[in-house]
Amino acid sequence: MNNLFPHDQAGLDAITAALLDAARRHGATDAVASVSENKGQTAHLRQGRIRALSREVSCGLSLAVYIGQRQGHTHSTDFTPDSLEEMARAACAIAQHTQEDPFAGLPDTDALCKTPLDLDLYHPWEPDSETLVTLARQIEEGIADWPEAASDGAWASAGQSQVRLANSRGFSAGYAQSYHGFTASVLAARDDIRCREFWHEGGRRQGELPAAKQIGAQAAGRAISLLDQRPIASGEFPVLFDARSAISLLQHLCQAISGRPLYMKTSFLGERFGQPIFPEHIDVIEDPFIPGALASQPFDTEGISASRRVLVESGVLRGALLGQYSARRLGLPVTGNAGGNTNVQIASRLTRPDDDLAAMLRKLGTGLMVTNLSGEGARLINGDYSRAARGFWVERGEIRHAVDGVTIAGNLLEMWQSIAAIGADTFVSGAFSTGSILLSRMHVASR
Amino acid sequence: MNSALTPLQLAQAGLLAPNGLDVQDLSRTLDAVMAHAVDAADLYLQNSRHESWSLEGGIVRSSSFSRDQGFGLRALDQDQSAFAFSQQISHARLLEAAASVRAIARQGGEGRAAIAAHPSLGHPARYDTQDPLASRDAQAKIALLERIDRQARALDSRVSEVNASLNCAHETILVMRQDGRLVADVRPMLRLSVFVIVTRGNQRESASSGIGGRFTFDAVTEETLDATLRQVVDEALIKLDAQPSPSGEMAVVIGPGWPGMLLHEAVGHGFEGDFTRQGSSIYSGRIGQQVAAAGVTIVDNGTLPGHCGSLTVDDEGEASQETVLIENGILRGFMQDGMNARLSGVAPTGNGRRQSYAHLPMPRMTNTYMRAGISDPQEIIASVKSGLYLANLGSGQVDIVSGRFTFQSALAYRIENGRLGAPVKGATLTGHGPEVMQRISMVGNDLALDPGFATCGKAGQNVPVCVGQPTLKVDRLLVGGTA
Repeated sequence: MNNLFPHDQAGLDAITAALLDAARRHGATDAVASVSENKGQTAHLRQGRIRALSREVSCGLSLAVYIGQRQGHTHSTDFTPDSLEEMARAACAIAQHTQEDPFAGLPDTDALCKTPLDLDLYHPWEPDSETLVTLARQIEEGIADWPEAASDGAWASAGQSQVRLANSRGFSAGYAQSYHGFTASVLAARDDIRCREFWHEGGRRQGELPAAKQIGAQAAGRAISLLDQRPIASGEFPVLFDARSAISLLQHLCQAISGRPLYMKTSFLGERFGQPIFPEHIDVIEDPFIPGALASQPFDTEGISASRRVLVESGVLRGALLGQYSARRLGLPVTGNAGGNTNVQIASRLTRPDDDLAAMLRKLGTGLMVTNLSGEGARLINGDYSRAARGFWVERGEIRHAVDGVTIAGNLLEMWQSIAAIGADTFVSGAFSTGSILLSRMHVASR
Repeated sequence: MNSALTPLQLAQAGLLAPNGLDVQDLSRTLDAVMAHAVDAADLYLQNSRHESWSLEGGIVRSSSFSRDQGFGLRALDQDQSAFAFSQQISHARLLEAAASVRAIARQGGEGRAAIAAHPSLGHPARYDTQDPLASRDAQAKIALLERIDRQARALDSRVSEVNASLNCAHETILVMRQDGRLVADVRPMLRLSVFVIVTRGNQRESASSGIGGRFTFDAVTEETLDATLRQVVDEALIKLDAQPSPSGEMAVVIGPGWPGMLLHEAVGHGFEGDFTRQGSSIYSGRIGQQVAAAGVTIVDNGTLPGHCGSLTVDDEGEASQETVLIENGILRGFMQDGMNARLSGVAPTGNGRRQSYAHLPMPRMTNTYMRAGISDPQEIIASVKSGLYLANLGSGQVDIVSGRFTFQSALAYRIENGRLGAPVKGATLTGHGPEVMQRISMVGNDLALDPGFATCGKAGQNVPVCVGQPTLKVDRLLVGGTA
């Protein structure tokens, strides 16, 4: 395959090796170097005009050194030999000043990835700018079909990147990946009501993207459906998170079981391992090795391979997301999650193949369907949850009208435990995958 | 560093000379772009150094140092832009970029005369060019963090964890425009942040604050530091006793300083010249109209000395200024960058900002705040029979299209019969910006700016800003809580 980047993997290996060598000469007892190269381009249109044609070629180089239990980090974008020398010198100088941390250090050699899997992550696409502009125009054509909608931006982008990670204990591996995507942002207006909605889809292969026009149509259709707004009464109601907004419930879980909040004791789930946090019909699975998936990786940012495992099994919290440092500090096995979670999916054993959105609305009965959330009102320290929401008021399983500017409040633990059903309308966004999620009740405040 | 050198001399020494370039090379790059049919072009060069130290679990366990440099070249044809950037500042990369941005050009070139650089000097400096990284040695930086840790723990035995971090940055920019205008700026930034956790039994709460600005360590006094720590620890302790927030529409008194983020979100973004020109802001085309209650005056002011949002010149080389957005309730003006000002037929306002050389400039806020009014803050609270006092704010968001905003309380109290009552937690305030601006019935005489930790995100670009306001009373606002 043609190499699109300034260096090939062997070239990157030479850079990381030189950097590790410089670190050793400046007194590091251990070191880890990583390098990345990115290449991409985007066409951004708004109502037929080119807002920006951008071309990106960028790179980065990071070094962490250990002098015993002390550590120092440096970053640069300059790969010249002088710069590598300067990075090593500066990192070792910093490490002289930081304090001894008993948990600092490289992963055990046994834990490092032996044979990186080929996960089918790299399908480069380098269209010329006219092609991207044409695709962005098609996104806007999808919007133009809807009379009350106007484009507030259409983006078509293509991008590829490669990384190499090497440490002073002999680990050196790298891989390349690609991501291409279409985004539409739509303004819809009727009388005094104005609202904006967006839609994005992306993937590793250009060929697997939906038709560009469809992205615009999806955003426009959603925006227009939100125009028929009416107020609702405040109260306690069942709430259905549509699949896209339900992703946030999984994100809160992953944040709360990450290493740092656990060892800092800032997660409300710190004492909940081994205990039920979801109903018995719920499982949450992490899988780093799904071929072509958006958060798949052969190894994490420390060189450790995670594996497919259950984070939540029959409602019981089983797994944390740990890198080497947090694992040592917590006295737990490392899970290969330095750099965060890989692909995470939530599923209910009660879900039937025909549980589409219409079926979920019937299960909701009378209550609120949430399609958009705003505000960062999920507090991981105690699980308190209060966010602004937009969506639809539903009566006896049928959408009556749109709702905006309401807040939904509760506590994450109570919310998760009240999950009555998960739909078969699975939506994947980045690392996360879920169907729509029905909660049996939440506080809804309205004007 | 010799502060007798001008920013332009520093930029030439830091950005051009080490890369074997001189101002002629910048002119030639712009010549190459302007040889094609485009209206305007600019070349932005930047280098930055950043250092951070962080303390957790009682030790300064990590530190990092980074360096970055690059240039961004933009060609403009009316409202259309082509953009290329590189992390290598060299002849070859400048010419490659010039070739790449021609993609935007209309057919045919116009064969213009060569561009001669004319430096634009003498902008009043809003900060010193001194480097905060170099203004203290490593031991002093570590000692500062250790002192914060010790002192916060000494304030109360329930303080169970302290995170403190120090971020210093120093950057130099040089921007040249197609008409030859050449402007440089050297920008320091220091930010100290503190996060504490308090524990009582199995109950935990946290609070955070910080101190920051375009200055060096000399500006961080012991008094400021002591007051910040006291306030953070107190806030976390108060939350231990907080009750669930009430829900519903009620009168809300919003305290001074950081809660001005409300204005930034609910009003500020709607006054940015790109949104107003495109008609996506609810404030588009409303200059001269009453958009807020009488007594409300809001400004964006990049000229305040040393604040996080302050700029001597913006990232397009325009001098910063004070722009009145709303004066006594009447909409007076918007914040502009060069392109949107040109397309709207108005003057630029020094609000053209970008996160880095790798990003395109946009109209952005600097220091945005409501000017002081006449009411005594105690009187404002006393005027509320039943409502909420928002003492400190969490994060916020706004949809500038609908005007709706959402933000979380970090610390709030009930107001009962004109007095502060029990602290409450978990309140989410949502509202419609323009409506809320009309419902401001009292403005305090106690204007305060945030202590220096605000960052604003827009279209994926983050820039440091400052927000502020006096105590305000909003007659009705929707509060979402669980009680």
